[in-house]
Amino acid sequence: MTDVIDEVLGLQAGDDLYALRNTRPAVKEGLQGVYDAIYDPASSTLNQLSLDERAAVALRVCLVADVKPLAEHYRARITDEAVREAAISGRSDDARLSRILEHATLVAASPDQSGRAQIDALREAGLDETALVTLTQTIAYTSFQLRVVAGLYMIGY
Amino acid sequence: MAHPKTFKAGSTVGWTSYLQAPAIEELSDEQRAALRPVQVRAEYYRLLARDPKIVDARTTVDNAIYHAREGLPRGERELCAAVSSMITGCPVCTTTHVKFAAKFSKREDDVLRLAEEGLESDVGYRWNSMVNAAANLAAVRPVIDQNDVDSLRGTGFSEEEILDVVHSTAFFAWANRLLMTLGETTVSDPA
Repeated sequence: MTDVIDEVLGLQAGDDLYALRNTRPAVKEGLQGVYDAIYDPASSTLNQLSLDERAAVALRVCLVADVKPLAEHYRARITDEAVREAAISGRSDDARLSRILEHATLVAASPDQSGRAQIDALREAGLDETALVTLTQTIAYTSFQLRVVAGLYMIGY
Repeated sequence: MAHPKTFKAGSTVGWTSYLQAPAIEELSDEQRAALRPVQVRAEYYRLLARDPKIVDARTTVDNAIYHAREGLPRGERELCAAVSSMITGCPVCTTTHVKFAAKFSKREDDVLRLAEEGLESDVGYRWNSMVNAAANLAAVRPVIDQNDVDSLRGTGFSEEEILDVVHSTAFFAWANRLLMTLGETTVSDPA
């Protein structure tokens, strides 16, 4: 069965790279399983961080890492045009979204620069403890996923 | 390929969360069910259980990568995890996975040379090519290229093993960022 990464790389049954991915079915299912958990429309944590906010964070992380095919996937997932533009520029008039995107940029590029002050600033912008966990997981998972995409791209080049 | 100094032999690393993790008795049924029994006692995992579905799915993929019975040997998977941790600059993950890489590969001298003297250290063709590929994939902008993949093929890695290198390295971009941004790391020098 094709998953998000297959779609992003344009892989289908019959392709060498598709077959190679399927030699590690538990990893392939697990990768998609986390994606499904983050973007689950019935998630118990949607009130803390919306689906558009999650996709905006993922898009920002992909742009920092310069992994274009996955960035395009997340760009298309965002439903609100203003949120999409904010994710691309990294800035928003909305203080909460602006702070979230700033954090995503920092953690993608310089995680060693993110300390307690970052977390406090996010709390001030209205994120509670659960939102902070979901936000961090979204940033960090995307950092993993984009490297799988980058690695597969080179294996199949 | 220079990496920040994230490893000192003999030093101990500690980690304290910036966030409030639920106490064991505060975990909801859903949060508790999302953790494996061994994780329940760890503050770090109870914190991640605040989003139960994500932590549950994360453990599944973690086990699928590092506890697989076929393909790249465990010691080399652990070395990929350690290289990612050195490039990203996570002392907690580096210390843990340098130890695991040394233990499972039974090549402690080579693992310590990479951790202490730098990732450019010559540790033989196979590991040189793997360390290079892992370091390039872990970079902020992954710069893994065709030379890296050709070099892996040329030093005897099968296609499946190359995929294992990618998975084992990439997963730590995730782990490193959780540890580095959700809490504070303390490193105490050897006595």
